[in-house]
Amino acid sequence: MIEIFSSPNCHACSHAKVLLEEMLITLGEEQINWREVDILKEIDYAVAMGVLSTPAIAFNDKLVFTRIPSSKELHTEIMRILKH
Amino acid sequence: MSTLSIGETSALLGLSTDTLRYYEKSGLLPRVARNNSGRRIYDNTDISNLRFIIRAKKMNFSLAEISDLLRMRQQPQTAKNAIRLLTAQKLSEIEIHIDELTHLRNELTLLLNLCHNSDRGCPIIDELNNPK
Repeated sequence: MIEIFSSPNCHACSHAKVLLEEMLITLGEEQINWREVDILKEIDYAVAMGVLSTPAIAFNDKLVFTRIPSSKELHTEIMRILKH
Repeated sequence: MSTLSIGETSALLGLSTDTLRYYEKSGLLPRVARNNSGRRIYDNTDISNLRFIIRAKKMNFSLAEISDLLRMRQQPQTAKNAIRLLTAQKLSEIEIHIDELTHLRNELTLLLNLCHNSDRGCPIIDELNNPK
């Protein structure tokens, strides 16, 4: 499960989301479960996950990126969860 | 060992001289030593105890509870079971308080970061207007 933490008017969040969607399509892994978390609607959850800024990306309930990752970094993390 | 007058202690700790006298008169603070003129002189132990009282009051502990905790502080090995129990209970309350404060600190950090990064408006206002 991948979660992108975003906030309203956050252009970097939109960028991160597009990056993830494109990466999943490239890998042929569109079936991987992911969701966008609007932190203003789920602020308690975001804080409990350790999110202090947006965008942030968690993989299997673990916060991994607290900024926009590079394509290589994102690829590495997706491959890691695919192995498990 | 350095000592302070009541006025110096008041200025150092932000407590009024009346409060300092009251803490001693009520027995919360052990009797403070006097100089040859009969004026109070506060030593390091007094200052340490007063700092403990200030911290405990900030945690909303009653003066009676603080008095028990000070006894525990002075003689932990021989403290009665009731005081040990109270100390453990207060420790638990402090830990819960720390957890709540940590969550609040992180939430405010997040909201402040969003304010800095937002092109339009401020999410802090949105959050305050959105009762849970």
